[in-house]
Amino acid sequence: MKASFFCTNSYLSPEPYMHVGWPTPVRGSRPEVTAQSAEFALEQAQQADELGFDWVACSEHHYLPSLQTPNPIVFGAALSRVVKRARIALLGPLVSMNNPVRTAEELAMLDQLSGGRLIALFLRGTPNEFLAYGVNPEETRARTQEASQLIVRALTEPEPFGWEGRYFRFRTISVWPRSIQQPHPPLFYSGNSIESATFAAAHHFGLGVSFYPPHLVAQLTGHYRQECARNGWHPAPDQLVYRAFAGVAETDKEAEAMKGRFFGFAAIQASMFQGRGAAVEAPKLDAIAAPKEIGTDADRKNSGADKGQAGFGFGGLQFCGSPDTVVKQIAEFHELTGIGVLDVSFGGAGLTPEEAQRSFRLFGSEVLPRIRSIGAGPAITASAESTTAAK
Amino acid sequence: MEDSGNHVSSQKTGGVGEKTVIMLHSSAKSALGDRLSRDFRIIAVEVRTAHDLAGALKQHNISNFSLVADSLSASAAMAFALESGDSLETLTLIAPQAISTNGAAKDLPLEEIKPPTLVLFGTRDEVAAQESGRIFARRIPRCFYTLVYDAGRDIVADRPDALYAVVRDFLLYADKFVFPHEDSAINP
Repeated sequence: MKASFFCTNSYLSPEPYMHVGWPTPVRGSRPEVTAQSAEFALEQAQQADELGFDWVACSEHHYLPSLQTPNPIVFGAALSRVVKRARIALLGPLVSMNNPVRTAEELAMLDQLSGGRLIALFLRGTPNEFLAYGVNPEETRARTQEASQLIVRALTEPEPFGWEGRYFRFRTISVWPRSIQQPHPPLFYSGNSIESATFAAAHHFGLGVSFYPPHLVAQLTGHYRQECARNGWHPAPDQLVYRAFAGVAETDKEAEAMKGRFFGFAAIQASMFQGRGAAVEAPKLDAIAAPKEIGTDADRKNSGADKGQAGFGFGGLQFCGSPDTVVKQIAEFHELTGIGVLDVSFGGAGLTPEEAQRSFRLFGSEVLPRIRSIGAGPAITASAESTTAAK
Repeated sequence: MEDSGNHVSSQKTGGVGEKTVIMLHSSAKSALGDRLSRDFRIIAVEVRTAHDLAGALKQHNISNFSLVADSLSASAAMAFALESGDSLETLTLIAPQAISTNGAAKDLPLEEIKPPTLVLFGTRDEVAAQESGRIFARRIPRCFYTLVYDAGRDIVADRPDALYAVVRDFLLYADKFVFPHEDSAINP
């Protein structure tokens, strides 16, 4: 089992978090705190590397103090300079609302700058974020699917080519630099719904799942594996990644106290759909905090699960306890789901920065070494197995 | 026009544009032909060889035209392009047969094809076919290798509007189809 440190570049002072609604006004930002936040984030990334985390990850999000990485490529480039060993994981760019050719160019550059350590996951985004760039929320699933395939082509086609798509048209594409990893860096697809998991399997992408409780993750990974087999391939364990919150303390009692105060991003997530974010369908807080089922677009059961509206378990610490307890939880989680990589966030509302930092360090020093042997499988490579070109 | 001696069967299918587009075989009678007739003078031609095509065009005094060929007629179209001199303005090949399995195309001196050439494949077409697209792109000097998203072998059936959009632009602007010609100002 591997672990990824989710580096959020959060704004370090509490004032802007008092705002309810999306977007958060920039008037609440002080330049000196902005500078400190970036320094702290990069220091944490360096520590994660030294502690042995396998990946250091960041994600594209917009207009929020809690996730100040609107361009994860820029942040990833900075990470590549301070993280010397771990992979740089972009989990990921919001491909539904960006120029796919530009994204391919940036991924190739980052693979070059990181010495061939890049991992990328294609994200659709949350509905409020679609408003940032004026993308029609109803089109975003199809845009994400097309953009993902175009990015793969842009990374792999050896000759200049054109693309006549549904949402994207480019008459001349020829991406330089060529990625160091061939045929392309390991690629994942956000798979928080049945449709997305099906698509990921059909196109030989790894699968990314976030925040669902274990039994629902197992449904998704089970479906994904079936679809992979139907498409003639079998994913390696570290082609399944799960993003979660973790709280680790010296004792279970201390961890339980953290759990009681933690309310994760549920409140923030709900806040995203107030203000201008109210233009899109509002989430149900209980569905965010405690999702009960995964469905399909057709039966509406997931009701925008992979749009961030419902279905995510944002409300709790998925892994919480003393190091012994968390190791046991992770072993059981892996047994149930087959997930091979945990992308772990140690922050979140309700915890002090000191608690989050202690949790991070305890996970790295006491948990990570002991989960190595769980589900040990072959390492992912930029192998032909993950090639989606010419599919 | 009819010329059974030369294995030529031609049909003027109409169209409103000033430019003449020769469409080989079934491509003219397809959804693509219907759409292109909004913009061009379309002539459908049934021929077996490049020689037949040259004879028919000469006989009927057709000069300065573009040529559109589908899978089965692509080899004849490329052979014609090699012999046509300056009369051929552009060449469009829609999902031509895989060059690795098509001896006729493989042996042609593709490097000598002079007109701008648009080669189209669907992203769901078989791997060998798309590899052919790369070979065309490499060997034909002014080749524009273009993928039509979510189309299989039969691009006309799968994505008729997308195919029309790119072919129309190419027929209108040749090499300059690579940039948009529409005004992009939101509030001019």
